[in-house]
Amino acid sequence: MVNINTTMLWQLFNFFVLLFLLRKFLYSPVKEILDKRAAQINGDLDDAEARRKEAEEIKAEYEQKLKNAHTEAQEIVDKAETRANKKAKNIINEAEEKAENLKAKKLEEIEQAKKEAAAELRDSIANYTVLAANKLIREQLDENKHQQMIMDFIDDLDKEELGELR
Amino acid sequence: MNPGPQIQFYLFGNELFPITDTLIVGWVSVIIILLGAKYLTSQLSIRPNGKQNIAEFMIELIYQQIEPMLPGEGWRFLPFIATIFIYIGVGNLIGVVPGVTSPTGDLNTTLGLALVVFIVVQYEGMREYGVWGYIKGFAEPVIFLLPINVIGELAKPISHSFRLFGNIVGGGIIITLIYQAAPALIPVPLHAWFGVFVGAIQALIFGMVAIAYISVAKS
Repeated sequence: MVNINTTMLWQLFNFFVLLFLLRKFLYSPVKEILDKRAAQINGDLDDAEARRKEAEEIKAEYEQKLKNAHTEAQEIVDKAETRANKKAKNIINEAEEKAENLKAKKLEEIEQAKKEAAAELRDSIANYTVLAANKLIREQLDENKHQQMIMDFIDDLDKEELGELR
Repeated sequence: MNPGPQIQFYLFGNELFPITDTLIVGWVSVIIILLGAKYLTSQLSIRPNGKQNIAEFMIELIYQQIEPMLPGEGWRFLPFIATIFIYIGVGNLIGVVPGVTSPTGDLNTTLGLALVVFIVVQYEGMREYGVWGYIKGFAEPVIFLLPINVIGELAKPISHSFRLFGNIVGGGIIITLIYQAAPALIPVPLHAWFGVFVGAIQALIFGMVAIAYISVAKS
Protein backbone atom coordinates (compact mmCIF):
# COMPACT_ATOMS: atom_id res chain seq x y z
CA MET A 1 0.00 0.00 0.00
CA VAL A 2 2.79 2.41 0.90
CA ASN A 3 5.38 1.86 -1.76
CA ILE A 4 7.62 4.69 -2.83
CA ASN A 5 9.03 4.22 -6.30
CA THR A 6 9.71 6.07 -9.53
CA THR A 7 6.03 6.91 -10.04
CA MET A 8 6.71 9.81 -7.68
CA LEU A 9 8.91 11.30 -10.40
CA TRP A 10 6.18 10.68 -12.93
CA GLN A 11 3.66 12.41 -10.71
CA LEU A 12 6.01 15.34 -10.23
CA PHE A 13 6.48 15.45 -13.97
CA ASN A 14 2.69 15.47 -14.34
CA PHE A 15 2.46 18.27 -11.82
CA PHE A 16 5.07 20.47 -13.45
CA VAL A 17 3.70 19.87 -16.95
CA LEU A 18 0.29 20.81 -15.62
CA LEU A 19 1.74 23.85 -13.89
CA PHE A 20 3.45 24.97 -17.08
CA LEU A 21 0.48 24.37 -19.35
CA LEU A 22 -2.12 25.82 -16.98
CA ARG A 23 0.01 28.88 -16.56
CA LYS A 24 0.02 29.25 -20.30
CA PHE A 25 -3.62 28.40 -20.98
CA LEU A 26 -5.48 29.38 -17.82
CA TYR A 27 -3.73 31.65 -15.34
CA SER A 28 -2.01 34.08 -17.67
CA PRO A 29 -4.96 34.65 -20.01
CA VAL A 30 -7.42 34.99 -17.13
CA LYS A 31 -5.08 37.31 -15.24
CA GLU A 32 -4.56 39.31 -18.39
CA ILE A 33 -8.26 39.64 -19.04
CA LEU A 34 -8.92 40.56 -15.39
CA ASP A 35 -6.20 43.20 -15.51
CA LYS A 36 -7.47 44.47 -18.82
CA ARG A 37 -10.98 44.71 -17.47
CA ALA A 38 -9.80 46.44 -14.32
CA ALA A 39 -7.78 48.85 -16.43
CA GLN A 40 -10.75 49.50 -18.68
CA ILE A 41 -13.07 50.06 -15.74
CA ASN A 42 -10.52 52.37 -14.19
CA GLY A 43 -10.16 54.15 -17.49
CA ASP A 44 -13.91 54.41 -17.87
CA LEU A 45 -14.28 55.76 -14.36
CA ASP A 46 -11.51 58.28 -14.93
CA ASP A 47 -13.07 59.18 -18.23
CA ALA A 48 -16.47 59.59 -16.61
CA GLU A 49 -14.94 61.74 -13.89
CA ALA A 50 -13.17 63.87 -16.48
CA ARG A 51 -16.35 64.19 -18.51
CA ARG A 52 -18.33 65.12 -15.43
CA LYS A 53 -15.79 67.81 -14.62
CA GLU A 54 -15.84 69.02 -18.18
CA ALA A 55 -19.62 69.09 -18.16
CA GLU A 56 -19.60 71.04 -14.93
CA GLU A 57 -17.16 73.53 -16.39
CA ILE A 58 -19.27 73.88 -19.50
CA LYS A 59 -22.37 74.27 -17.37
CA ALA A 60 -20.73 76.97 -15.27
CA GLU A 61 -19.53 78.66 -18.44
CA TYR A 62 -22.98 78.58 -19.97
CA GLU A 63 -24.57 79.81 -16.79
CA GLN A 64 -22.12 82.69 -16.77
CA LYS A 65 -22.86 83.36 -20.41
CA LEU A 66 -26.57 83.20 -19.76
CA LYS A 67 -26.17 85.59 -16.87
CA ASN A 68 -24.11 87.90 -19.05
CA ALA A 69 -26.70 87.64 -21.77
CA HIS A 70 -29.43 88.51 -19.28
CA THR A 71 -27.48 91.49 -18.05
CA GLU A 72 -26.74 92.56 -21.58
CA ALA A 73 -30.34 92.14 -22.60
CA GLN A 74 -31.41 94.15 -19.57
CA GLU A 75 -28.90 96.81 -20.50
CA ILE A 76 -30.16 96.89 -24.05
CA VAL A 77 -33.73 97.12 -22.86
CA ASP A 78 -32.82 99.86 -20.41
CA LYS A 79 -30.92 101.74 -23.05
CA ALA A 80 -33.71 101.38 -25.54
CA GLU A 81 -36.19 102.52 -22.95
CA THR A 82 -34.09 105.51 -22.05
CA ARG A 83 -33.62 106.35 -25.67
CA ALA A 84 -37.29 105.90 -26.40
CA ASN A 85 -38.18 108.05 -23.44
CA LYS A 86 -35.76 110.69 -24.54
CA LYS A 87 -37.06 110.57 -28.07
CA ALA A 88 -40.63 110.71 -26.90
CA LYS A 89 -39.81 113.67 -24.72
CA ASN A 90 -38.07 115.30 -27.63
CA ILE A 91 -41.00 114.67 -29.87
CA ILE A 92 -43.39 116.03 -27.28
CA ASN A 93 -41.18 119.01 -26.70
CA GLU A 94 -40.89 119.63 -30.38
CA ALA A 95 -44.59 119.25 -30.85
CA GLU A 96 -45.28 121.54 -27.95
CA GLU A 97 -42.86 124.07 -29.32
CA LYS A 98 -44.37 123.80 -32.73
CA ALA A 99 -47.82 124.15 -31.31
CA GLU A 100 -46.65 127.10 -29.26
CA ASN A 101 -45.12 128.68 -32.28
CA LEU A 102 -48.18 128.03 -34.31
CA LYS A 103 -50.36 129.43 -31.59
CA ALA A 104 -48.21 132.48 -31.27
CA LYS A 105 -48.20 132.98 -34.99
CA LYS A 106 -51.94 132.55 -35.18
CA LEU A 107 -52.44 134.93 -32.28
CA GLU A 108 -50.24 137.41 -33.99
CA GLU A 109 -52.20 136.99 -37.17
CA ILE A 110 -55.38 137.40 -35.26
CA GLU A 111 -54.00 140.47 -33.58
CA GLN A 112 -52.92 141.80 -36.89
CA ALA A 113 -56.27 141.09 -38.40
CA LYS A 114 -57.97 142.66 -35.46
CA LYS A 115 -55.80 145.73 -35.76
CA GLU A 116 -56.41 145.92 -39.43
CA ALA A 117 -60.08 145.46 -38.95
CA ALA A 118 -60.11 148.09 -36.22
CA ALA A 119 -58.15 150.48 -38.38
CA GLU A 120 -60.44 149.87 -41.30
CA LEU A 121 -63.44 150.28 -39.13
CA ARG A 122 -62.10 153.51 -37.73
CA ASP A 123 -61.34 154.81 -41.16
CA SER A 124 -64.78 153.84 -42.37
CA ILE A 125 -66.42 155.37 -39.33
CA ALA A 126 -64.42 158.55 -39.76
CA ASN A 127 -65.35 158.70 -43.40
CA TYR A 128 -68.98 158.07 -42.68
CA THR A 129 -68.96 160.56 -39.86
CA VAL A 130 -67.39 163.19 -42.09
CA LEU A 131 -69.87 162.36 -44.78
CA ALA A 132 -72.77 162.43 -42.34
CA ALA A 133 -71.49 165.58 -40.78
CA ASN A 134 -71.09 167.14 -44.15
CA LYS A 135 -74.52 166.10 -45.15
CA LEU A 136 -76.05 167.35 -41.92
CA ILE A 137 -74.21 170.53 -42.07
CA ARG A 138 -75.13 170.96 -45.66
CA GLU A 139 -78.74 170.22 -44.93
CA GLN A 140 -79.30 172.16 -41.73
CA LEU A 141 -76.76 174.84 -41.51
CA ASP A 142 -78.07 178.07 -42.93
CA GLU A 143 -76.80 181.42 -41.89
CA ASN A 144 -79.27 182.03 -39.19
CA LYS A 145 -79.00 178.82 -37.57
CA HIS A 146 -75.26 179.07 -37.75
CA GLN A 147 -75.36 182.39 -36.13
CA GLN A 148 -77.64 181.21 -33.47
CA MET A 149 -75.51 178.20 -32.68
CA ILE A 150 -72.37 180.23 -32.35
CA MET A 151 -74.12 182.57 -30.14
CA ASP A 152 -75.50 179.87 -27.97
CA PHE A 153 -72.08 178.42 -27.59
CA ILE A 154 -70.64 181.74 -26.59
CA ASP A 155 -73.45 182.21 -24.15
CA ASP A 156 -72.85 178.90 -22.61
CA LEU A 157 -69.28 179.80 -22.15
CA ASP A 158 -70.28 183.06 -20.41
CA LYS A 159 -72.80 181.51 -18.16
CA GLU A 160 -70.37 179.04 -16.75
CA GLU A 161 -66.80 179.58 -15.73
CA LEU A 162 -65.49 181.85 -18.34
CA GLY A 163 -61.93 181.37 -19.43
CA GLU A 164 -61.70 178.00 -17.93
CA LEU A 165 -61.56 175.73 -20.87
CA ARG A 166 -62.57 172.21 -20.34
CA MET B 1 -7.57 -7.23 -1.12
CA ASN B 2 -4.65 -4.95 -1.63
CA PRO B 3 -5.57 -1.28 -1.28
CA GLY B 4 -3.43 1.43 -2.77
CA PRO B 5 -1.89 1.70 -6.20
CA GLN B 6 -1.87 -1.38 -8.37
CA ILE B 7 0.98 -1.89 -10.81
CA GLN B 8 -0.47 -2.30 -14.30
CA PHE B 9 2.72 -2.86 -16.28
CA TYR B 10 6.37 -1.93 -16.37
CA LEU B 11 7.65 0.72 -18.72
CA PHE B 12 10.23 -0.77 -21.10
CA GLY B 13 9.73 -3.98 -19.13
CA ASN B 14 12.01 -2.42 -16.53
CA GLU B 15 11.08 -3.06 -12.90
CA LEU B 16 12.40 0.42 -12.08
CA PHE B 17 9.53 2.02 -14.00
CA PRO B 18 6.29 0.54 -12.79
CA ILE B 19 3.17 2.13 -14.21
CA THR B 20 0.41 2.07 -11.63
CA ASP B 21 -3.31 2.68 -12.07
CA THR B 22 -2.93 5.86 -10.03
CA LEU B 23 -0.37 7.17 -12.50
CA ILE B 24 -2.58 6.41 -15.47
CA VAL B 25 -5.50 8.14 -13.76
CA GLY B 26 -3.10 11.01 -13.01
CA TRP B 27 -2.41 11.39 -16.71
CA VAL B 28 -6.13 11.23 -17.46
CA SER B 29 -6.68 13.91 -14.81
CA VAL B 30 -4.04 16.13 -16.40
CA ILE B 31 -5.67 15.72 -19.80
CA ILE B 32 -9.14 16.43 -18.38
CA ILE B 33 -7.85 19.54 -16.59
CA LEU B 34 -6.08 20.84 -19.68
CA LEU B 35 -9.10 20.23 -21.90
CA GLY B 36 -11.30 21.93 -19.32
CA ALA B 37 -8.94 24.90 -19.08
CA LYS B 38 -8.75 25.13 -22.86
CA TYR B 39 -12.52 25.03 -23.11
CA LEU B 40 -13.15 27.58 -20.35
CA THR B 41 -10.64 30.07 -21.76
CA SER B 42 -11.32 29.55 -25.45
CA GLN B 43 -13.14 32.82 -25.94
CA LEU B 44 -11.93 35.33 -23.40
CA SER B 45 -13.35 38.82 -23.67
CA ILE B 46 -13.63 41.93 -21.55
CA ARG B 47 -17.33 41.20 -21.16
CA PRO B 48 -17.30 37.66 -19.80
CA ASN B 49 -19.61 34.95 -21.07
CA GLY B 50 -20.79 31.89 -19.16
CA LYS B 51 -17.75 29.62 -19.21
CA GLN B 52 -15.32 32.52 -18.83
CA ASN B 53 -17.16 33.41 -15.63
CA ILE B 54 -16.42 29.91 -14.30
CA ALA B 55 -12.71 30.25 -15.08
CA GLU B 56 -12.55 33.74 -13.55
CA PHE B 57 -14.52 32.62 -10.53
CA MET B 58 -12.16 29.73 -9.90
CA ILE B 59 -9.02 31.80 -10.35
CA GLU B 60 -10.33 34.60 -8.15
CA LEU B 61 -11.53 32.16 -5.50
CA ILE B 62 -8.04 30.65 -5.26
CA TYR B 63 -6.50 34.13 -5.38
CA GLN B 64 -8.69 35.17 -2.45
CA GLN B 65 -7.31 32.27 -0.42
CA ILE B 66 -3.69 33.23 -1.13
CA GLU B 67 -3.81 37.02 -0.90
CA PRO B 68 -4.76 37.36 2.82
CA MET B 69 -2.02 34.91 3.88
CA LEU B 70 0.67 36.24 1.55
CA PRO B 71 -0.24 39.91 1.14
CA GLY B 72 0.81 41.42 -2.18
CA GLU B 73 2.07 38.12 -3.55
CA GLY B 74 -1.23 36.52 -4.50
CA TRP B 75 -0.55 36.57 -8.21
CA ARG B 76 3.04 35.38 -7.79
CA PHE B 77 1.99 32.23 -5.94
CA LEU B 78 -1.26 31.71 -7.80
CA PRO B 79 0.03 29.36 -10.53
CA PHE B 80 1.71 27.08 -8.00
CA ILE B 81 -1.10 27.02 -5.45
CA ALA B 82 -3.87 26.88 -8.04
CA THR B 83 -2.23 23.94 -9.78
CA ILE B 84 -2.10 22.12 -6.44
CA PHE B 85 -5.76 22.90 -5.80
CA ILE B 86 -6.88 21.88 -9.27
CA TYR B 87 -4.71 18.78 -9.67
CA ILE B 88 -5.52 17.40 -6.24
CA GLY B 89 -9.15 18.41 -6.50
CA VAL B 90 -9.64 16.67 -9.81
CA GLY B 91 -7.48 13.75 -8.65
CA ASN B 92 -9.68 13.32 -5.59
CA LEU B 93 -13.02 13.77 -7.34
CA ILE B 94 -12.19 11.44 -10.19
CA GLY B 95 -12.17 8.65 -7.61
CA VAL B 96 -15.98 8.95 -7.46
CA VAL B 97 -16.12 7.17 -10.79
CA PRO B 98 -16.47 3.49 -9.90
CA GLY B 99 -13.39 1.43 -10.64
CA VAL B 100 -11.12 4.47 -10.83
CA THR B 101 -8.43 4.94 -8.19
CA SER B 102 -7.60 8.49 -7.19
CA PRO B 103 -4.04 9.49 -8.05
CA THR B 104 -3.96 11.05 -4.59
CA GLY B 105 -4.54 7.63 -3.10
CA ASP B 106 -0.90 6.98 -3.89
CA LEU B 107 1.76 8.20 -1.48
CA ASN B 108 4.06 8.83 -4.44
CA THR B 109 1.73 11.60 -5.61
CA THR B 110 1.08 13.23 -2.28
CA LEU B 111 4.63 12.97 -0.97
CA GLY B 112 5.98 14.24 -4.25
CA LEU B 113 3.74 17.29 -4.08
CA ALA B 114 4.49 17.76 -0.39
CA LEU B 115 8.21 17.70 -1.14
CA VAL B 116 7.76 20.30 -3.86
CA VAL B 117 5.89 22.46 -1.35
CA PHE B 118 8.68 21.80 1.18
CA ILE B 119 11.33 22.97 -1.29
CA VAL B 120 9.28 26.05 -2.19
CA VAL B 121 8.86 26.82 1.52
CA GLN B 122 12.63 26.59 2.15
CA TYR B 123 13.33 28.70 -0.94
CA GLU B 124 10.83 31.38 0.09
CA GLY B 125 12.18 31.44 3.63
CA MET B 126 15.73 31.93 2.38
CA ARG B 127 14.56 34.48 -0.14
CA GLU B 128 12.93 36.46 2.66
CA TYR B 129 15.69 36.27 5.31
CA GLY B 130 18.78 35.17 3.38
CA VAL B 131 20.22 31.65 3.61
CA TRP B 132 22.01 32.18 6.89
CA GLY B 133 19.22 34.25 8.40
CA TYR B 134 16.70 31.55 7.57
CA ILE B 135 18.83 28.73 9.01
CA LYS B 136 19.50 30.82 12.11
CA GLY B 137 15.75 31.11 12.55
CA PHE B 138 15.63 27.42 13.53
CA ALA B 139 17.81 28.17 16.57
CA GLU B 140 15.39 30.70 17.97
CA PRO B 141 14.32 31.62 20.55
CA VAL B 142 17.02 29.46 22.21
CA ILE B 143 19.71 27.29 20.65
CA PHE B 144 18.65 23.98 22.20
CA LEU B 145 15.34 24.15 20.35
CA LEU B 146 17.26 23.69 17.10
CA PRO B 147 16.76 19.90 16.78
CA ILE B 148 13.09 20.18 17.67
CA ASN B 149 12.57 22.94 15.12
CA VAL B 150 14.40 20.98 12.42
CA ILE B 151 12.37 17.84 13.15
CA GLY B 152 9.20 19.96 13.12
CA GLU B 153 10.17 21.36 9.73
CA LEU B 154 10.98 17.92 8.33
CA ALA B 155 7.72 16.53 9.69
CA LYS B 156 5.76 19.05 7.65
CA PRO B 157 5.96 17.29 4.26
CA ILE B 158 5.27 13.97 5.94
CA SER B 159 2.15 15.12 7.75
CA HIS B 160 1.20 17.12 4.67
CA SER B 161 1.39 14.15 2.34
CA PHE B 162 0.07 11.45 4.69
CA ARG B 163 -2.98 13.50 5.60
CA LEU B 164 -4.20 13.56 2.02
CA PHE B 165 -3.04 10.04 1.24
CA GLY B 166 -4.60 8.59 4.38
CA ASN B 167 -7.93 10.32 3.85
CA ILE B 168 -8.28 9.18 0.27
CA VAL B 169 -7.02 5.64 0.80
CA GLY B 170 -8.95 5.30 4.05
CA GLY B 171 -12.12 6.49 2.34
CA GLY B 172 -11.51 3.99 -0.45
CA ILE B 173 -10.96 1.14 2.02
CA ILE B 174 -14.10 1.99 3.98
CA ILE B 175 -16.17 2.14 0.79
CA THR B 176 -14.75 -1.15 -0.44
CA LEU B 177 -15.54 -2.79 2.88
CA ILE B 178 -19.07 -1.49 2.94
CA TYR B 179 -19.67 -2.46 -0.67
CA GLN B 180 -18.77 -5.98 0.34
CA ALA B 181 -20.71 -5.94 3.59
CA ALA B 182 -23.90 -4.03 2.83
CA PRO B 183 -26.38 -3.93 -0.01
CA ALA B 184 -25.93 -1.25 -2.66
CA LEU B 185 -28.33 1.14 -0.88
CA ILE B 186 -25.96 2.52 1.74
CA PRO B 187 -22.67 2.70 -0.20
CA VAL B 188 -23.92 5.15 -2.81
CA PRO B 189 -24.36 8.16 -0.47
CA LEU B 190 -21.30 7.00 1.44
CA HIS B 191 -19.31 6.84 -1.76
CA ALA B 192 -20.52 10.31 -2.63
CA TRP B 193 -19.50 11.46 0.86
CA PHE B 194 -15.99 10.09 0.65
CA GLY B 195 -15.56 10.86 -3.00
CA VAL B 196 -16.99 14.36 -3.32
CA PHE B 197 -17.03 15.90 0.13
CA VAL B 198 -13.86 14.45 1.60
CA GLY B 199 -12.14 14.86 -1.75
CA ALA B 200 -13.03 18.56 -2.00
CA ILE B 201 -12.18 19.20 1.65
CA GLN B 202 -8.82 17.44 1.42
CA ALA B 203 -7.87 19.31 -1.75
CA LEU B 204 -8.74 22.56 0.00
CA ILE B 205 -6.77 21.56 3.10
CA PHE B 206 -3.71 20.51 1.11
CA GLY B 207 -3.65 23.84 -0.74
CA MET B 208 -4.37 25.94 2.35
CA VAL B 209 -1.66 24.14 4.31
CA ALA B 210 0.80 24.77 1.49
CA ILE B 211 -0.08 28.50 1.61
CA ALA B 212 0.23 28.43 5.40
CA TYR B 213 3.68 26.81 5.27
CA ILE B 214 4.93 29.42 2.83
CA SER B 215 3.37 32.17 4.91
CA VAL B 216 4.99 30.84 8.10
CA ALA B 217 8.40 30.60 6.44
CA LYS B 218 8.12 34.24 5.35
CA SER B 219 7.01 35.64 8.68
